[in-house]
Amino acid sequence: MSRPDSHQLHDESALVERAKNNDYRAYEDLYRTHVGRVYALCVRLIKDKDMAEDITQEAFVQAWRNLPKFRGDSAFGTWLYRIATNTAISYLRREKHFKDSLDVDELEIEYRETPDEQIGLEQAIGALPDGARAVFNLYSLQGYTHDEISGMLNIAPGTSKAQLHRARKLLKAVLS
Amino acid sequence: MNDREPENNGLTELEFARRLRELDDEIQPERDLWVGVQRQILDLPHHREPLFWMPYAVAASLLIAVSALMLNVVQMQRVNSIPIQLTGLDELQHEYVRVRNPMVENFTRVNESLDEGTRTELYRNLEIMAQARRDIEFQIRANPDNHRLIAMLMKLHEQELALLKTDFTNLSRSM
Repeated sequence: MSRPDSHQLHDESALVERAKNNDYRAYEDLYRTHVGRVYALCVRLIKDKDMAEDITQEAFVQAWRNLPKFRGDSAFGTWLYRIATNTAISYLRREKHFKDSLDVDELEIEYRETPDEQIGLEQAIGALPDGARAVFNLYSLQGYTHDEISGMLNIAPGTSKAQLHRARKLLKAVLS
Repeated sequence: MNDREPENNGLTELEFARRLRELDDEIQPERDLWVGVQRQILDLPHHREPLFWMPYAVAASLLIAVSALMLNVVQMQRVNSIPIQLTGLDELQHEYVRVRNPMVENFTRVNESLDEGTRTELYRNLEIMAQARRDIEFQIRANPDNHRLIAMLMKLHEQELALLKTDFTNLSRSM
């Protein structure tokens, strides 16, 4: 991913300031810029596309509500993705999606056209058990530490490490 | 661990890392979610109709600020020509935001002891002025030869900043 240049950051800062003044057209520009990454984050965590869309919407609404608190200490996108992550995790915790056993030996890929069709990484991640998928996404794709993940998911750091190990083992096996 | 050797006939660590890097950063949702987002944010409190009352002194101060703006619009025929460059408009906007933002923070802090109804009305009027500013900026971009619009924008900046300097708690106490 390319880093935004200073001109893009300046433009985005101006949009954020306008959005803070209740300019929802400016906020729409911010939405268009970031919705792809936010939805990618949500659908990889939640798997159900319809629910991921709802969570994506909710994340943008939460960000709008909390805009007055955004001070620019981080990039707007970084702050937004944190809100999206917390919104998705709150949903998963409400639905109690982290009770899966550590005993699953193999991923069940729901659909292949031919038995030897190569499985994509995206599809394989979607087939992971919920707990393993959440930890894998947060650690390997979002860059959170095990301590941070344990706090977010209300699991022990050791469990987070075990889930990550399990996820990586399952993914490598099905992708080979 | 040897990065080149597969573990138990699975993918190598190197290949796995490569596949991770190749994952798309973005996935577009199947439907446009903006409609739902917009509907919800417009329903939030600061977009609702404001309360209709406020202390007389506060109302008078707001009326003076807006009326002065209207008078200056009428008098704009006498304003000398101001060359309009759209790059100049960007600089003007940037400078204005740079000056305005700390004043907004200070305004919020100074007037936080006002009752909720008065604060709501103050912020609504600031929102009206901000929207007027955005509308004028939009018109300037569409009509760069209209010098009156630049003068109107500068006067609106002046009025908005004058309002942001006001300590309405002192005005309320002077009733």
